[in-house]
Amino acid sequence: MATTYNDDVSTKETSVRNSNTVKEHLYKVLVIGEFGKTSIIRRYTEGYFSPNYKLTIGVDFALKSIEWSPSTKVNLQLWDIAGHERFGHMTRVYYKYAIAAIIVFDLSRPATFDSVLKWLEDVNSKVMLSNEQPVPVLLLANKCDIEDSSYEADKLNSFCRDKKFIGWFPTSAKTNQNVDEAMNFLIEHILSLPSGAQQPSEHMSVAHSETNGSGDFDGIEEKDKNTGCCS
Amino acid sequence: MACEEFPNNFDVVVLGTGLTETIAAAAFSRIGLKVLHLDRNDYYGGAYSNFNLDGIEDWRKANETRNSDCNEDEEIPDKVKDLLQNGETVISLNRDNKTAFNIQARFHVRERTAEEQAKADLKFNTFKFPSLNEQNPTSDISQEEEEKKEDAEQSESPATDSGVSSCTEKLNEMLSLTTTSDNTAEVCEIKDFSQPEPPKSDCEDSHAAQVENPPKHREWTVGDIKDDWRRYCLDISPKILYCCGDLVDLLIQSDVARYCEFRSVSRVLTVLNNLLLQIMNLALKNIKANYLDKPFIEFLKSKKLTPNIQHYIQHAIAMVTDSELSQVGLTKTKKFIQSLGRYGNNAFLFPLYGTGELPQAFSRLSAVFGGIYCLATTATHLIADSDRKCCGIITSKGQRISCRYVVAECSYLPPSLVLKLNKRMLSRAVYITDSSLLPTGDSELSLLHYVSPKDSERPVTVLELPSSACVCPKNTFIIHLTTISNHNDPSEDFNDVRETLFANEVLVQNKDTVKPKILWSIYFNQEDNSKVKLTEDAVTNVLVASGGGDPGVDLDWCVAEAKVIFHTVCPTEEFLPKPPNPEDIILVDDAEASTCQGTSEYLEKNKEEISEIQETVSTDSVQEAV
Repeated sequence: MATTYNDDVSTKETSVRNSNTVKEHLYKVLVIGEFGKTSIIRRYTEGYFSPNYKLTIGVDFALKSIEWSPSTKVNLQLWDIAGHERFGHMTRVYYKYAIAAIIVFDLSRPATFDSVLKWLEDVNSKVMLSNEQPVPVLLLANKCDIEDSSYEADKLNSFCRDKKFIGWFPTSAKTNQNVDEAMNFLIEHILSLPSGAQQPSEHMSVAHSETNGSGDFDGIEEKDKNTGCCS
Repeated sequence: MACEEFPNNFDVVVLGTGLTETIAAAAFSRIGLKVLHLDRNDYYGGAYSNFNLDGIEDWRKANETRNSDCNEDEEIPDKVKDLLQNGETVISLNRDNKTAFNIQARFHVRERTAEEQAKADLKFNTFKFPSLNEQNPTSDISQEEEEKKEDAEQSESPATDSGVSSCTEKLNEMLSLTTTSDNTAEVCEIKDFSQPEPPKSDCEDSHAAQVENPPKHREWTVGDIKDDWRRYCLDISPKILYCCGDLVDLLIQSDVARYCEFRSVSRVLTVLNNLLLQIMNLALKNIKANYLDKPFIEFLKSKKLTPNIQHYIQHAIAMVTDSELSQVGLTKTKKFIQSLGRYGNNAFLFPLYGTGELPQAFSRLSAVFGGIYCLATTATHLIADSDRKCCGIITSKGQRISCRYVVAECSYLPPSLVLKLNKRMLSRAVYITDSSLLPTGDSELSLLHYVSPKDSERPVTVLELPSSACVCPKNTFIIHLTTISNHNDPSEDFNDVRETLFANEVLVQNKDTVKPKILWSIYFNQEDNSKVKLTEDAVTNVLVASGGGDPGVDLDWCVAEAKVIFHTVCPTEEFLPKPPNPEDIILVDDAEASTCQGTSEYLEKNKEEISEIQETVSTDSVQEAV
């Protein structure tokens, strides 16, 4: 089966025109971590799993549209760090206008948990909501289907409380465990953000209108500055 | 996060993340070459970087201790020798570099009193931790957003994709537009504040109505400025883009434009006054070959223009000195006029969040197409084979990396390999001010080519950025000054412009002054590394990129430079073609490839598109699917 990543901003415009009663949101969400990001994104956006994803080439983000309620439609742009920015130096382009972030670690590789805090600091130092609050960050403990993977829920609970994650889920892209649940939890959180954090941010773009996908997010103003504080 | 090793083989290693290097890296990645992109700094951009208020202080300190000297004769460490193969030699590279000299930064306002500090702490605390469901009373987003919407509306005028070649064709059309619209080029007068503003479009009027005048006589303290340290984006090399220039065309063509947003330079200021529009017309219609080799001002005088009109054309439009030849002056005038009308009423664009956004946007494109990025890492040595051909590098982490080409910003190469053709320095100043040079109640982004009566050969480029350019908090302005150095102390180069345009610090008690007050300043010198070439000693397959520091206002020359670098490596490939539509990219992994062969109708239907993408996108991710 062939699959596509969709960057269809015009869809949004069309449906908004067709029905004035449906409120449509476009949110940019960062998906960060060393392993498992791509499989979670593809499980969520396309509904299947494959064990051997290659680096995503030429794609900025995957798009998922959710009929959240009869009156609300949510379009999520899930921005993978280009596998190539894995040395920890993302450009500001990546962070700009993000309304939330997901940090993924791999239960079968304990070292990936050690990086979680570094990624969190990096996110918090580079992007915040337009009301100056930190962006909500969700933690995913991926590969919970693997037999020898274990986690202590209590420890993760207190870890998330201490570090102000909005929550965590044990997930499996392979068995589709908790992926939708985690994403719905995140969307709920985003929708509950005060309106001050959700103002659209529109600026002049030199691109043609048909290629202009960056100018009309329903989110977020980025206030921070890349000073390279990640490592 | 950063402890992994790099792969051992690349097509191109790029050193330095300045604009030329990032454009070149994006072009290489785009056609599927494997690119490793390193920067010795822990930030993107090199000489084109920008910083917040804390970041620029770190940058200042780092430059004090930095050392540009390269010890070319140093002994090659054994661990490097161990990585070499038979017949290979190494060349030591510059690991460090001073990007600026004579840096002086200071606040021009007083510290907070203890009482004020306590008050501010209280405010800061309530500001910092309100409940998530409460709208923060201090944030003033809605108004800001309104302003941004206005910008977006203005930008809706259809963008044209035509390159410079077709510009001449459009020229007549634009000229007629120019002559019918009063404010196509808004040249405002600085001395004469009583002069009425040119009429504004409806859009601008409604905009102006929404923006309150900033509090005029607020007394600023160091703490007030420091509280907002994150909101400043201070460019080392602030530049603007000609709307019809090569960089804008490249941004559109390569689709890097999707990563950037712009504001137009809404005012071009000068310190004289007269009518402008007819004059531009005249200047273009009367290009006479016999003046091409003579100074531009002689050409203007020959047109029997009044001194004021000559001044306008020379300084506000062409931005050339008295000795510049007519050919140059006319070319620049033409470019200015061609750029009018493409995006709103002015000829220039400024990237939101500063010029430092541009290298990052090209870096993202390169990363999305497989380029590997690592900052705070550099190459310590170039490896040359027995034919003096570069075949790899040793990284600062001690890894040997083989590659076919090395593209290096000039400061990464030792002096024996690089000739710097412009032996001069720039002087730069950046001010945070409390008001605009010419307040109108509107959020204007202004360009002023200031010519000192004392030194007409060294004009000062003044770029005033409002908070709507996302480079500073509300009610402040960033003013960038750039000129060619004449003094050892960079601040002296701006004495004249400072006295003319800014409030005198000693007489600041005079609260009626309309001149902006400098709240914070930084001065520094930059080496002009914009023209460089390799020496005869250089090994082959090493390409050099300029290191910034030119006094011009735009960056179009970086595009040309990157193009030359790209075509040296790939003479027949297309330079940054438009990326495939994300919808057309088919991601197939090994397991899927076997199950979908020849079965999907969709694939059959899209056969052509797929094969096209496969040519341009690295086949790592796109499998033979049909």
